[in-house]
Amino acid sequence: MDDARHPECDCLEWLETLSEYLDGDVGEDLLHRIDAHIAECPRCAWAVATLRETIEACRHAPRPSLEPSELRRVVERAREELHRQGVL
Amino acid sequence: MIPPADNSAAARRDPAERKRDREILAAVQRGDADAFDRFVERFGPMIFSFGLRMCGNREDAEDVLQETLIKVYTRLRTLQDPDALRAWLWRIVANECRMSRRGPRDPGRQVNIEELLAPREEGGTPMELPDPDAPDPEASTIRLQDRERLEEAIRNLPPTYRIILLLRDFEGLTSEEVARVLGISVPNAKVRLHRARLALRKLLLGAEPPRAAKGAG
Repeated sequence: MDDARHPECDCLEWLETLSEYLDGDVGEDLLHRIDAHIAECPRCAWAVATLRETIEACRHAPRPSLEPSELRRVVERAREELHRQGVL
Repeated sequence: MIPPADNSAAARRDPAERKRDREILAAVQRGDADAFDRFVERFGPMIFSFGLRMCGNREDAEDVLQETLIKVYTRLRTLQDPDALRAWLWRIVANECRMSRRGPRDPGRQVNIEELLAPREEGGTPMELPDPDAPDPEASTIRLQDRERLEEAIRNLPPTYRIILLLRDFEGLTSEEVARVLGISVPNAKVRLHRARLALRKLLLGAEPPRAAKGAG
């Protein structure tokens, strides 16, 4: 299976660095090497694409919200406690 | 009172957002009459959504919000470094989530890292590799619009992965801030984050087989 994988490169090395690569957190030299590798390796390109989409999905996920009435109730309880403690 | 789903993680890294945090902190420390409302408006939705995703139920999330508001606001006047606000706040939120254990929210198991890093060659290093039979790169993508699936996948992650993803990719903290919140080294935080992302990716991809595979039957 290894032979079918990536005969002339060490994909394991690339894959360990993919999060840092996608975060723009690798040096320029490594960045270029990974870019060049991805351009030639469909499997790593797929790994990068799906990992990038995973991160983007998290970054753009809308927040679950609290109903205004529920929020008021929670905030009022906190406010009362802060008053009781003399903070507010 | 509190606007719904506001900013993305990317927006929260915006210097303008950091400036806004500093202004609110200054208002609290001056004792402005509207400081508490401004503080709640700014951080309330973040704290609640984090608590809900972390704890998995609304009751715990409400408790986390209430207790965090009390603890943070009580101590906020003593915070010296405005740039430390976010890490300090999230550390308190994370602790409240850990302490709030009302209902079943964890899958109850730690996923073996080797499950995430398959396939593993005998004697070799476990590592995440794409499925050799799957990758039609066009077909295997994660549908970003499927929010419910994302939320479910987050709920099914082990807590150690869930919390680091929430801090880094949902709330937009830097790796350094995440490390400070969790009390771990920056390299450790990066490794854990990578594994958490791989775990989430696996859950998301697993829920939607590649189109090529679907059409094969």
